[in-house]
Amino acid sequence: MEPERDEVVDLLDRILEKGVVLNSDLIITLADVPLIGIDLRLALAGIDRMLDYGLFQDWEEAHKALDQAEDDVSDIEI
Amino acid sequence: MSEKQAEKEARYLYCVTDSSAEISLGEIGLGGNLVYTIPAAKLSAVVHDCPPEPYDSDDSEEVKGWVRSHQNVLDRVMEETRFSGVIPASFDTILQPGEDRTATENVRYWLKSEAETLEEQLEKVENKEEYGVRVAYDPDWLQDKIQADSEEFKSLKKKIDESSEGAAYLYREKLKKLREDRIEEVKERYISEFYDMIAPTVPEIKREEKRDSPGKNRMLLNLSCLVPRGEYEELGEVLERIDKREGFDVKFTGPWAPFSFTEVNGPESEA
Repeated sequence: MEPERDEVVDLLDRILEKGVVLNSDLIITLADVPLIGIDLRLALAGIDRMLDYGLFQDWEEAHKALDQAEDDVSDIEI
Repeated sequence: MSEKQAEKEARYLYCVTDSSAEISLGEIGLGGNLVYTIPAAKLSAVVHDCPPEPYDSDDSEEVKGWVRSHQNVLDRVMEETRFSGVIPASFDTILQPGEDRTATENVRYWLKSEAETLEEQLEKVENKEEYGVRVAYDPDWLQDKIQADSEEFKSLKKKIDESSEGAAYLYREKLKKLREDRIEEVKERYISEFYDMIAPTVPEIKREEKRDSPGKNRMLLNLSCLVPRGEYEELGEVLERIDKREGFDVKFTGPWAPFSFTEVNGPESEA
């Protein structure tokens, strides 16, 4: 089995959640980083796919996020 | 940002690597920006110049492009043979200028103050790359399998059919509980079986959080594997065996920069 590179989900898991952490004195910080993370995920991966892969850790949170974002991104496909 | 000189006063960080050479990697950054290295203490940070504000957009195509650019820069650095290791930064890590330091000075300051940890981490991931493995199971298949297997289920079902409505309700609840317990047991068995198959094929492995959802396939295992460059054959063979089994689906992705195997924290506030 050969590895694939077009798995957006895996890329996002890494690029948005991992990587070197710097002290907040040095970097531009966002007050709402997790939310932006969710928005990016929704925008990039499409909702159906998100649900298939269970990207949301908390189901209730997921529903809230969906309610907020449904209108904007439901027509986006990867 | 209205003032022109302030427009590019911050540094978008892609990764840290192990060369102290000053190198330009070309205009391959987010938005076609010039990507280059800022060396300090035998290390260098791979950056581009940007305004001191996060990249954010409602346009998914634009965001998608940014994330891919970030990934491309990491790929390029990993391909360059003069670098043997890379510590990736996450999307939107932007170093800003301080009160008495420019952003470039801040980058150098950070590299110097974290040099020991960074070098340690670089050594660990030297000439290695990361692969993602997710094993999912089909819940319907698993449920059928469990019920077909068990005498207990058959006898409970028989009791449900034969009982009065009240008693049948209790038996149905019992059946439900039994089914859930069995599913958990069987899942745990597969988890250790597959993990034990996969783990010996790679030098380092990490269990990531499983994320369950009501989707079609549910996640059984979520792993990150650190593998010497290109040496994923054995891992791939094992994954293929699992993928071919009825009821299971494997996603094998990579190579990625070693995101899951590099842990570096920023220096304590020195303000």
